[in-house]
Amino acid sequence: MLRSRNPIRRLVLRTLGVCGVAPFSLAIGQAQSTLRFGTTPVFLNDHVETTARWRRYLVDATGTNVQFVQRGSYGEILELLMRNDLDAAWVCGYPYVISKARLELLATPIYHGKPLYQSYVIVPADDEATRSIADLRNSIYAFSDPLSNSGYLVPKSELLRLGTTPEAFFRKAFFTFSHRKVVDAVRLGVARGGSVDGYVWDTLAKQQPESTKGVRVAWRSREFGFPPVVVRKTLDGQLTATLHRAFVNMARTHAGQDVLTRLNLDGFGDAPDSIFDGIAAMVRQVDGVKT
Amino acid sequence: MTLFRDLSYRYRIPLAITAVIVATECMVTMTLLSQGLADARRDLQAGAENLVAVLSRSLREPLLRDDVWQAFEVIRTPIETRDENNALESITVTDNGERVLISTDTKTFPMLASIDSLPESARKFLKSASAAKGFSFTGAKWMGAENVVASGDVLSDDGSSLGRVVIQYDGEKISQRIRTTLIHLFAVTLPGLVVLILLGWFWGKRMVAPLSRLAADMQRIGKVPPMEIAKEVTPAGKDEIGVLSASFKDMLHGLDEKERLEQEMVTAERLAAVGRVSTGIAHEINNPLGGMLNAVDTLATHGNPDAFTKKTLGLLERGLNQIRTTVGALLVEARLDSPAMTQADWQDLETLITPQVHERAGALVWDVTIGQPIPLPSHLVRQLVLNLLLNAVKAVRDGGHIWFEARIEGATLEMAVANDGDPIPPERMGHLFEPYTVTQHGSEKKSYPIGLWVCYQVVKTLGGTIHVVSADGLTRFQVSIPLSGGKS
Repeated sequence: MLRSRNPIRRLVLRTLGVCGVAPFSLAIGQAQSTLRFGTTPVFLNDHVETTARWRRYLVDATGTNVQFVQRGSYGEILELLMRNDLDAAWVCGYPYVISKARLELLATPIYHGKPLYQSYVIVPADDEATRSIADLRNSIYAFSDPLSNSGYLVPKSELLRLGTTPEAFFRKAFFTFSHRKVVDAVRLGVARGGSVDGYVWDTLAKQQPESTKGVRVAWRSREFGFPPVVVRKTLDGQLTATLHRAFVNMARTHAGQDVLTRLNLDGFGDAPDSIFDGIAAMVRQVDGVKT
Repeated sequence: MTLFRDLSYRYRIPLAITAVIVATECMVTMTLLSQGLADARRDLQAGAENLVAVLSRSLREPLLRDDVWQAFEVIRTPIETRDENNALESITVTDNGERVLISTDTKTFPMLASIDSLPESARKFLKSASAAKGFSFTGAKWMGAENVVASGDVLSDDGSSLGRVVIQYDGEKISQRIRTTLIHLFAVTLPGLVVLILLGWFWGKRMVAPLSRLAADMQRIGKVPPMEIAKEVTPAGKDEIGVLSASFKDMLHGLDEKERLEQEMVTAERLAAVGRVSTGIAHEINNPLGGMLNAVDTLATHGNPDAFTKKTLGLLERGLNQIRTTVGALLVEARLDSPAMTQADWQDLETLITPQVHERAGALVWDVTIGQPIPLPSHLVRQLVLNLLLNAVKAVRDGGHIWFEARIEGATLEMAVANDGDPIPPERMGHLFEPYTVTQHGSEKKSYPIGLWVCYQVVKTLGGTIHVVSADGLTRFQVSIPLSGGKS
């Protein structure tokens, strides 16, 4: 009897052990009182201290337990949102635009006084010739994430405007799944150029200048809607309102201001959905080419 | 060779010890060195093999998915986490010998560059390393290294090759590390070697020192009296040199004994000659002397001399009698009819000498342990002892000491007379027992009458021996006379 029961117990224990190794997975689908907030590399989400303080702020401001969830790509976060496994997330404008039907705009970061940002093309500093992505034909190129506006959609749209595609234009293009790693790829000579989130670049250059050393910005795009904080539409209205208050009031509290300083942002505000029209137009352009 | 043979042991043994130390040290150092180098090479190769294995496994997924960034993340980690002494230079992933897929050294090995298009030096090793099969490791030499290259396959689950990971190590850094190790090794062993050599040199010198001393002492034979050399020879231990020293000391004693015997023989012969001459002369004088005394007596008795003649005859007779006494003293004859030496004779001797000693305010230590009469002519023994005692009284200063002892040992009468007066000057020693000797002692001339000569004659007549030792403030005459009294 015992012998036959033991393997089952061991299996259960092992399963628990696996869950312990991956606490985020275990957390999903747990008690309703926890608000799950997904982050993506639209900001420097690998700064653990910043996210920890931010979480504390949100817990205090909402009176709800908040859990930060991080994944390897925008796609995974988006998928969790779609499956209702996340309640809110800070995502890029691109996934927001394509999933608008199920997402609700909660707050938009205010950067340099505006809810807008740019996409940069960066190249090694010793490359003085490159003025735009058009000069990088046959190069090795680094994109950040296939669902990133600044790190993929913008350059792809630019190439489409030139009548070409990344596959045809570049000798080789690859995704690093993080803006920061695009900077690394260019800095370390893996890629001759890359597309990054202008806000992430500026923040890196400000907070960790050594990581942008030897790399320069060759081109800046026009302005687009800043990656927004969104909630799934199915989230409880009361909770959405509380969370909204917590975000827009960040700049008014000491703890919130501390986090904003670390995030290199002015604050979070309400911006019209129209700021994402530029991205939506590019999505249509890209989809048009595909079909 | 001759030079080495002539070299003193004082240098030869320390040199030999030094040579042995240096040879041992060299051997130990070489062994350590070769062991260390072999270990270092093995470590390098094992480390490379391990790294290749880890990277191959980690690169499987990225290569399957053509995720160059992930592949780069895999290979950049060992490069970024190495310390400054790590010789690891670059990691490159190739596409089965055709193209560079990704490299940590993007300048030398640009991504997707055809290997054939690379510069000569880079192409050479990458080509061979990426074309090899399985784990390959080249470039490590015994004492240094050229660019060390390790490579291995990145295999998919079914064992087909997805690419090859090529690790390059900086040969100069490896060589530098070996050189540093060498310098450290020498820095560690050199002071030890110096200390060992100094110790060896000191120890060798110490070992040879007794031999050198012995050699120096031996060279002094013939120049310095043997006993003086013997005083400095102190055999220590029972090793060869100790045995040699002891034998040498024995030899010196033998030599001294021989010299002394020779000296004694010469003295004895001389004294015997003097004895023969004086006895002969004494007899030659005695014969006419007897006639002359008879003649004087006859003249005085029957010649009716006048007063003047009588006075002259008296003068003549006294003079002739003095000659007879003097000559008689030279003649020592064993009168066999003389009575044996009794206890009373010893007492007489003490009684006779005591006033003389008191005159000098001295002290006499009388030690006679002979109870019965001994069969030796008493007049000769008395003459001998009295002469020696008078001699001693003369030698002591005021308040000095005189010792006399006499005892029977077996069939020998052993007697000793000693005093703590001035020692006998060395120049007199050789002629001590000769009659009427005159010696120059410092500025004063000293003459000695026949007292000791008589002693010598008596002892010789009785078949005994007489020795004198003058040392440590004590002058001692030692007399041995067989109780047979020379009759045999």
